[in-house]
Amino acid sequence: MLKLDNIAHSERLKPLSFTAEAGQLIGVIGANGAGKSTLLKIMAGLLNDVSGAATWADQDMTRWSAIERRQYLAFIPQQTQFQEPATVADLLRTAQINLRTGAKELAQWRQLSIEQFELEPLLERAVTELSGGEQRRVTLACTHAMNRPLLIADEPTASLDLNYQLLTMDWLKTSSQQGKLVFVALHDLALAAQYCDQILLLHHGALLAHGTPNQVLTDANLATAYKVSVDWLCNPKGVAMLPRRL
Amino acid sequence: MTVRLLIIATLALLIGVWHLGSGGQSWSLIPQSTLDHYILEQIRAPRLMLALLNGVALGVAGSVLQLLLRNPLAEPGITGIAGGAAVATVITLYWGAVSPVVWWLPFIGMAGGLITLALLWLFAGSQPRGIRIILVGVALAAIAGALIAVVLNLAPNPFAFQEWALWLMGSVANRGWAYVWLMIPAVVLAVALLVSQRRYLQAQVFDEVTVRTLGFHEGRSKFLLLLAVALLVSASVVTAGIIGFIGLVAPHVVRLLGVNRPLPLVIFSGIVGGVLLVAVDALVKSMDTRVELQLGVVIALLGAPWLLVLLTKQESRDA
Repeated sequence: MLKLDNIAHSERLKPLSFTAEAGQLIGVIGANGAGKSTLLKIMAGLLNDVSGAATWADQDMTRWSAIERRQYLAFIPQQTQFQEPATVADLLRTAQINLRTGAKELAQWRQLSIEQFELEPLLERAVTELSGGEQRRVTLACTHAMNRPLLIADEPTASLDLNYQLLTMDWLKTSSQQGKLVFVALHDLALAAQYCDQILLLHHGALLAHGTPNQVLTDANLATAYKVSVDWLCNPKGVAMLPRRL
Repeated sequence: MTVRLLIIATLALLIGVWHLGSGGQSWSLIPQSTLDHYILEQIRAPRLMLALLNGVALGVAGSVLQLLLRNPLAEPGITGIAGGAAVATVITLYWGAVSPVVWWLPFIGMAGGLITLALLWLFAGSQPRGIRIILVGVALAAIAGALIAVVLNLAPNPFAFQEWALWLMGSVANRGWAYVWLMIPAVVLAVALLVSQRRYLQAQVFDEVTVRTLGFHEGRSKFLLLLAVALLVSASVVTAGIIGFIGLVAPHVVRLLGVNRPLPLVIFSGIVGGVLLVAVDALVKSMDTRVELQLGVVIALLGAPWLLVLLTKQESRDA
């Protein structure tokens, strides 16, 4: 179980409390600068100047030790840069460098990641030569190959085409259904509405609303947070939205 | 690729050995007289070894810094450690007016390098990012450079000035076995540290945030790697003065030859550094100049154009 108790950042996030059981996909949404990345980074233990308590299975999330990170936490930053022209296959192996699982099992996880993100044709290519979206898939596959129970992803679908956006959300959903706890920051509210079990809506560094998509994505909340009014187009196959500026 | 580098290495070593035999009456490797024996065993062999060790140390140090600080311009000089070791040595020479052959002088130099590392770590903070280490290092290097200039400025006589200035330019001439024995433990210890942190080095293919999330004892790993660099660089400075450029150029040569993965990069940077320094030292020995040119100067004169040629080749290949 994850428990945030008055967690706050001195400049960017007002005190926020929230609890979540494992096995859920939790969306973090809000306008630019609302504090999505800050909240995710706090949970990943990447920020200083944090007050309050954040625990995951009795583990202090603001101070992960190296060993605990290896066991529990996978974090996908908003942007990744590759400087060295390592091959995709190399990167996948390197991502597992601190795992003490058997070699056979690790190879199996890698194979699953390669299949999940359709990286087979790119395996021997240098990552620096790939397009932005392809690099993003490599990053996601590396996280997939680590197979950790707590997954925190900061806008994983940014820079991906429609197919891979859906593929990524499917992966996150499946991971949560397999018992992982997944946090994902999203800009696409239609994706959030379709996939997330719970949503945290941030506004000016404070928690404006949280609950199921239906509870959070109300006209009033969206008007406050995004300064838009939204027409939702729903049919049995999915959800789309038509935003208009207020 | 590996084979090509090994051939270069062997060739350069042979050239060095060739010149080793060339000083006597014949161009043979077999010593003809007691004097030949003495020259071979006491002057040329340690010179060759010292050039090799220095090249390896600087090549390895440069590649580790470039990986760790994520900056292709990083080289041993940028951390201020070389400057720190040089300052300690030069100041001791000034106060004691001792000649550079006193046995404890190198230990003062080593201490200077390690103190600079401590300062670097102190000012860079507990979870330092690459760019912060570079900025602090540049500041420390500037202080070291200024202090060296002050000491040279205060030199009691022109001879002392010339001696110190030449020493600073870097050379492996007339050092003897003692310097080789001094260098070996530092290199061995540094290599042991690098081996212990090999996983962290391998992980540097990812960006800094991702490396953190992989789960390393980050502060410890960074410090131990910097300690290894400090040992290599300080040992190099106290045995051979400041030999610039090898640490910068060796990793780039290796990259341009097509080696990019961190561990091979470090290993081959050591090989290329060693080969380069031995080859250039052989050249320095064989050049007929009134005063023997200092190794560090010639390295920069030859190494920089070589890097430009390699870069141009890469450019034409990419285009």
